[in-house]
Amino acid sequence: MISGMRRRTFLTGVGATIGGLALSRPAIAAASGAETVELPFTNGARSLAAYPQKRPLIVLTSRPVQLETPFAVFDESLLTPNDAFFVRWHLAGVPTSVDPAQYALTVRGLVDKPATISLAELRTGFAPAEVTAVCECAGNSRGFFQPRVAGGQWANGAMGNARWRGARLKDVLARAGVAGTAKTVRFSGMDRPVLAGTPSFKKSLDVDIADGDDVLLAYEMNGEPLPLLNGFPVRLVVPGWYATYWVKMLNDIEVRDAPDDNFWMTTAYRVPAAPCGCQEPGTKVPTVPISKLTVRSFITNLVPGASVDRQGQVAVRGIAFDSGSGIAKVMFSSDNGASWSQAALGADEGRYGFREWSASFSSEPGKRYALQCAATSVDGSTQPSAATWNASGYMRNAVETLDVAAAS
Amino acid sequence: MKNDQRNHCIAAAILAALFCAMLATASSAKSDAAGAAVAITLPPDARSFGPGVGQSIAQANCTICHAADYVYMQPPLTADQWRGEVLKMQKAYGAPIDATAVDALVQYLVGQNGKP
Repeated sequence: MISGMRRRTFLTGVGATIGGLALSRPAIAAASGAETVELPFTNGARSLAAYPQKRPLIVLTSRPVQLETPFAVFDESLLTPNDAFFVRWHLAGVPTSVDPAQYALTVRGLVDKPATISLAELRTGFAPAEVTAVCECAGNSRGFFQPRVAGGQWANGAMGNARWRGARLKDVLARAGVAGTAKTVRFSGMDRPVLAGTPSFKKSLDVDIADGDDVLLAYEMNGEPLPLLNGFPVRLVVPGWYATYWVKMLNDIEVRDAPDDNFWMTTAYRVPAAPCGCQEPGTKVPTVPISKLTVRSFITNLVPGASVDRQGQVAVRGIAFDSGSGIAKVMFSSDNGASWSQAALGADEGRYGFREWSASFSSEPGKRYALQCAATSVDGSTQPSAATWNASGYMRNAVETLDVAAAS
Repeated sequence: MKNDQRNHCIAAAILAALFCAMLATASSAKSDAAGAAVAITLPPDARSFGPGVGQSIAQANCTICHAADYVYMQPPLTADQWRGEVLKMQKAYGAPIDATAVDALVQYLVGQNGKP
């Protein structure tokens, strides 16, 4: 966490010279739910509240609970602290009491040896593996879609980067002995719908994805047990894939020989089949299940409307990530994309995680600056300069613009 | 209170404390291999449905599964869009919205968070 300490120190050191932090600062310091923030879109008023095992976070909804990470957190450290990590449940029947001694993970379906695995067995019976990976909600940034679309109205804080530790799914599947006819693996957790007519939350991966080296049954997050609201005691971790597949409180694995016909695969969490995952508003297009993360980058040390040094070199810092090919480069512009310079990349702390970048620009008294960053992944993916659109508000990854001004 | 009664109470309290300590030890021994149990209490709904014709329909049907903040965090939606949401809740999620109540619910939602 050396980088984390340095980043925090930097924030404290320059805080006095950067204005406009009003939106983000109370989120860190707040001790009660009395404070509010205004996210920058219509109906963006939110309260901040400290839920169990959490610092004050932005309350999107209270039941089922959905909590957004205040964006300033992403400047604290590259690993998102557990108590600041976003929360998103689909169904109100979330167990509020979990005894890991009673935990049992069922492995069933097209396997030679169906099994029920305790948490102790998961911890000690399989070689532990670790991966640092970004967990991003499919609908992260949905509030910025134009035209607006219904759904969870997140700003950019429905994401987080953590070091996950657990058993490899492939090892658990291998011990059970997957049949040659197997095609998909379906996952479900301990949360339950309120109504009999609401589909239970289940997600499926093709067998070849499930067998990936980095897919974990995680029982630790940043060196600690997961917060209950993030899926304690075990969460599926699918690096590079959207969080909808990272099933929380995972307790059932079913190996199957058919595509999943469950609502959460066939109706929900689908995106246009076109490579851009986009469509024109008002059109109907063929869709496929959402899968891998788009490449994104953000400025983390400045907030919109900040006033920067009236004359001098202004340091800019941020994060970039993609679905796991890695970040090849980040370009930075201080003039709304008219000219670009290459940012310096921080240490590579894992191809699935946040990659730090830094740049600077010269400020002159009274001038305004439209700051932009644009990442390119190792596999060649880039961020569109103009936002693309889809009917469900998924996978936003446009180049964002952050306006600041130098004092006159 | 007489001395012997007080002594009896103190002895009982000590025994109870010992018993509790033994239970706690047994319990933690059982959970050590897997880690401690976690129990949380979630706060009540942060928001309820505002006044208006149809409020009781929203209260009776929508809040079975979710708090009213699901409605108010949305961007303002047209009547057609709110109808789409109501029908999705009814058909995809099994909300017990009576067919005769759909129009009134849509109008209520438009009144709470709608646009032309």
